[in-house]
Amino acid sequence: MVFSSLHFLYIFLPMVMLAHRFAPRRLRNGVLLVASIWFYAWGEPVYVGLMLFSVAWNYLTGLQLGAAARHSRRRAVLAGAVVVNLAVLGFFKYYGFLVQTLNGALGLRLPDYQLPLPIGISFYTFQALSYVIDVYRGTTKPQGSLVDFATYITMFPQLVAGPIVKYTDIEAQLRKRGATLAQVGQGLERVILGLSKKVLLANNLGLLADAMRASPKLSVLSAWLGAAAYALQIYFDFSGYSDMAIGMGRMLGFTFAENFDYPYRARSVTEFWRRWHISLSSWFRDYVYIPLGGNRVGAGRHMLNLLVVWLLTGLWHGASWNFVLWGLYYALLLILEKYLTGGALSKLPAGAARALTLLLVTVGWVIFSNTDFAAMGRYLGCLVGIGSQGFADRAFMYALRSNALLLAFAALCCGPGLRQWQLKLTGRLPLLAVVLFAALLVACTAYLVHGSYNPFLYFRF
Amino acid sequence: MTERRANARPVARNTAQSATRPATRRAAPQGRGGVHHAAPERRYAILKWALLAALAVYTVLVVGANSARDVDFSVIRSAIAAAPGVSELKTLDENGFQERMDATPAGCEDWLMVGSDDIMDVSELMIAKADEATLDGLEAAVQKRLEAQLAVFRSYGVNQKDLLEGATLLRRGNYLFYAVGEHADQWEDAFLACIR
Repeated sequence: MVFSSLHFLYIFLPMVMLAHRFAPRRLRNGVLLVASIWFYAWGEPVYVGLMLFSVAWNYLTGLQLGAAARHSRRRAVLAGAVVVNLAVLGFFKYYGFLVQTLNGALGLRLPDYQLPLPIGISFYTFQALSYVIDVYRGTTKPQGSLVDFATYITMFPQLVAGPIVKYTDIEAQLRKRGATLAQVGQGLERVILGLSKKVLLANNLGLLADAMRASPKLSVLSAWLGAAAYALQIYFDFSGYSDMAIGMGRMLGFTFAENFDYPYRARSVTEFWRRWHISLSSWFRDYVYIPLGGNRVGAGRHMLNLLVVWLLTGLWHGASWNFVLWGLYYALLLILEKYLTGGALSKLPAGAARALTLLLVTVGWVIFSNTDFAAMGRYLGCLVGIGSQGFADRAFMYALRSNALLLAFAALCCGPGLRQWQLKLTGRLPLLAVVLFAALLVACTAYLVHGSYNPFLYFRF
Repeated sequence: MTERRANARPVARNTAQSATRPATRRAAPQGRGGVHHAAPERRYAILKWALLAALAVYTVLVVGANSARDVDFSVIRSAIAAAPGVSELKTLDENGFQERMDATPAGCEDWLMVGSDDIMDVSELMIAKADEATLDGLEAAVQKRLEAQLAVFRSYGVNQKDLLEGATLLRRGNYLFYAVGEHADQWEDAFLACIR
């Protein structure tokens, strides 16, 4: 089920919220669990089994870690759990990629099963891993209730596209939580805000990005316009989803950590990754980067650590070489920033540093969005005038004129100013908030009634 | 990547917990229905082995249900040609495919598409054999085609709308199958019989 569908918004969500609200406290997790399985089964009935395996496996691992006496045994249990989690993720997500690569490189004829990707597998596997590692480290206690643990893994607001919620962050809320009417209102406001980002901004920006990409001949400016439109689309798409997840969590009494912090205002690539998909960056920092030694090692080892982390981050996003390249691109940028250009960058005026970062990130999205290397090469070439149809053309002028308002408004929404102004205004005039968000909901509904299929981009990860 | 060293260290939550060895930092399971603390770790290990066995069976079933025999495409062509209703439709060439799907079949290893000449008849059938990336693109093209057709017939073509809403779109191995029409189920059976 997709958040930005009428069925979800007007049937599933109200039913679940009411059932959760009026259920006795001890049954609330059960209600949420059943709803989450229903939500997942709507689009992926076959893979519910895989998700339930993950729940049962990691639940038992937690208990086993709690019961194991010897340190060596605990280590073995953890290693086994990590291997199985990664093997499941590897088989269902990366098997086809690996087989195609091996067949292509070595001329083998290994069977490629072309299994559909289980939605959300990367997200729930990482949540489960964070739990077992935290139990091993002693950061948290093993969860004794299967229902509570299953609720944590399967919770529908963040099940299919994050944010990746650490068990320690909601451990207490799994046992006891409540949401006042004001919190439910705030949550609903956040849901509508996220929905608007997705339906009103991301989907329309996606049309522009697709049109530019589909064009057989691009001018330099058309290529940049398309790349900028995609950069804005993916931001509003993913941060919109995160807003909806956080909002729904709040309505249910959970507090999920923020996943975005106006990333396009970053003054360096390092800062960008502190502001973009924060839950994923934090996960890799806590469970891969720091255990590898982080930056408290020699320069060579530090570079290797960055390379490993970004290779994995790239692969996490998809089973395709362009994601590997995208990860390496960021590893290189971060290494350069740390050891070569960081000092100079910090001396640049804020506007120039932001523009440079935005430029690098936009180029990164071109790599990210093109699984076909030939198409990627052509597009990157057009950005610098190689193989392009001149510097600017009519198609660019037409696209710019037709989308000027959308682009300007989207750019405005990339900073905190508009949101702060809205909060200030609606804080003074609460009725205005009701009118504003009701209008946004009506506008989104109108789009959804007449709109077409609009999956979230991050569903495929 | 930034780092906060403190995060890497366990937070002592229990006064009995030692800060040095994870083994000494164990704590009783929490929550409702908590498992007895003295429960042998072996029991959990046995349950996990059983789970792994279940996962193996599940994986075999999923792979079996999704995989397809690599058959000569002519076998599929013959089976589809003999299926009911197909002879009434026109076999489309590359241009016809492109017109309807707004996508090219150029990247496919092989493909077939039939459709009606009558613009009020929504019947069409497409089968393509290709690599994953090409099939991804074709699947998206089929989705768009279906939406476009639904947008055309939603307001006045009751039968057409029903047929479009009942369209079959499935992937098996290297194949993509898409069918709309009264005989779509029989076409699907004919296709699946070839690749199983």
